[in-house]
Amino acid sequence: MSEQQDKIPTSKVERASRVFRTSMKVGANYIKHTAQKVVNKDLDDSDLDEKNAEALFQMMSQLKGSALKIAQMMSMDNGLLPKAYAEKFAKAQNSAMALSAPLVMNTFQKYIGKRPQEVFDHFSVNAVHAASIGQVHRADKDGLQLAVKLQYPGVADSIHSDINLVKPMFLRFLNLKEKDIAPYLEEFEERLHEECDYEKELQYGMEMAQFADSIPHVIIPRYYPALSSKKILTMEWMEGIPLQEFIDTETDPSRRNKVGQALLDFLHNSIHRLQRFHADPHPGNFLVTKDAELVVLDFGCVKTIPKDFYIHYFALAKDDIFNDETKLRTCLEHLDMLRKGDTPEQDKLFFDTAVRAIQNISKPMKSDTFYFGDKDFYEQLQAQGEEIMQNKEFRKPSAMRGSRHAIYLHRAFFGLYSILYKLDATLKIDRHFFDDIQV
Amino acid sequence: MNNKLQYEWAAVLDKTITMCQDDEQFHQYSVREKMLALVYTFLQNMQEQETHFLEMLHQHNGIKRLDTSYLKDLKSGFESYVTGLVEEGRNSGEIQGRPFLARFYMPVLWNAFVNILYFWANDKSPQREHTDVMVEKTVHFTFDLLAPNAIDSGIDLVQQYLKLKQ
Ligand SMILES: Nc1ncnc2c1ncn2[C@@H]1O[C@H](COP(=O)(O)OP(=O)(O)OP(=O)(O)O)[C@@H](O)[C@H]1O
Repeated sequence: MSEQQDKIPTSKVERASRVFRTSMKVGANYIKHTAQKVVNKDLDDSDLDEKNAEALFQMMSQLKGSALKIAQMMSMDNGLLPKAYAEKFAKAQNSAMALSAPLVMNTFQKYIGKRPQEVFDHFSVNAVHAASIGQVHRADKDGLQLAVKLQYPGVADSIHSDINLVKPMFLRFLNLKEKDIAPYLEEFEERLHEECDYEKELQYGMEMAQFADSIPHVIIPRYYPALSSKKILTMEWMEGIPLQEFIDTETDPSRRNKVGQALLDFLHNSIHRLQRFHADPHPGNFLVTKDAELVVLDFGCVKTIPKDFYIHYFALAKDDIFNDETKLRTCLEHLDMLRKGDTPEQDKLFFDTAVRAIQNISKPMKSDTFYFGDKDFYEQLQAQGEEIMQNKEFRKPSAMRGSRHAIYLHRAFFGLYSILYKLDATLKIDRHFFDDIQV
Repeated sequence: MNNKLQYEWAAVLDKTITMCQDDEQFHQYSVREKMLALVYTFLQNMQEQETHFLEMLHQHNGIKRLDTSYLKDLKSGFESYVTGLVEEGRNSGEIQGRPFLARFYMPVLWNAFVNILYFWANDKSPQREHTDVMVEKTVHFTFDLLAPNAIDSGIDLVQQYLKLKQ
């Protein structure tokens, strides 16, 4: 890709991402949208807010573990934080402390009951990768190449206090009341706890590995329960290049499409068949093999959505339901986008907004193939996002709505679409998933 | 003080030192890492008679902490082993030899170690993982104090400057 091509659209995709937050009027989206307003230069108190943002960043950059995760989550959703801060947070990823070699030994002794030298034929005392809540070591045993992930001590039980530490700044920065976002903070906290529980990750990973057997060109490492525990996760070492590198260097469109298709199929299948999906699809969590197959790593952030939510959400993508106003309203009420007590004006506003957002967002689901490099698609999303941001009605607390389950679903779709955009991929859309959905 | 109690602390240390010395890995460690390994292994060995050691530490909690006579044998064992480590660190350049401050090195290391023991005794986190964090932070902190740092480079610079000026 030429540099110019790369520049313009990336920011478009970023801005389009606002739509996933604003157009569906999901509460968390509102938070982010308000953040946009906050950092908007032409606002009166922008000076004060800039200071708040700076203070927020200063504080968060001091933190490790879960607070860093929260910060990264916000910065990954490009647009929530001013770009400059988002970039700083992205870098903070690498600067997390590394465990000393003796602590690595000690952790093994504590949680596996043996030292790594006793467990493996060979074990690299120094980590080969550092992440926000743990580090990755290489090992081998009986000729098998292994990746061993070790969690930093104290990360898991600091989540609650970290959130409480971050919350006041967060609220002030976004100009919100605690009760308005309580359910969403709960959702964050729940996911973060899961993310720090390697036993859960092991269980999800093994489940997904089995599930993905039926999905072409998707590879998930083998996990080794006997060599894993709450703080240690042992899996097969996967050969491949990071997805970002593949995006930057691969010149063959058919190989780019192949990887994109694998990713799309993997997410669609897990959402529609399991109602459980990888909720953190960013390039760092994938590798690409020599044969352009997609390796999926890291099942720390897996979200399960209730069937009822699933049905009413995806029903919106079906024309027969979308065109039947009674059914459409039923769905929107289920998703907490329309409320019984709304005034006629509110009802009209939220209804019209939702309808247009659904039309925009469900566009890739309407045909048998879709070109994800299509700028127009993102531009339309972006235009609506801008429009919503200009509208004062959406800044009122009564506009804080939407099921908490939508947060991670949108995050997954946003992550997916950003990657597919960068891959410039044209993909087959499997629409039979929608056949059975009825309300 | 009961001699038997004295003996138990010292015995844990002896066992710890033997385990460390027998470990191939240990000999490849920097002095800082050796100190970390020593502390982790010590805590791990205390675990074997956990209730017993907890009881002793709890008895001496609070103001009574100042009375460390019940740790006397442990202290002398610790000092003689750690003196060797400090010496090794000086030779490798990891620890700065500072004529006037060096005599505080041992009290600093010993106090840090005793603090960790009390922290361990009061740690309610799962698998005492908070103690692990404390050990890392404490040892890194104390070794940063002992390591050649900005002050030393400052002194060095001034000395060089004066020397070259002459
Ligand atoms: N099985 C594996 N084979 C090869 N490399 C791996 C494997 N698992 C992890 N890695 C490498 O280590 C890095 C970090 O791993 P992972 O994403 O699982 O950690 P994490 O703590 O969950 O990170 P974060 O949550 O910050 O993304 C990956 O980006 C990848 O490069």
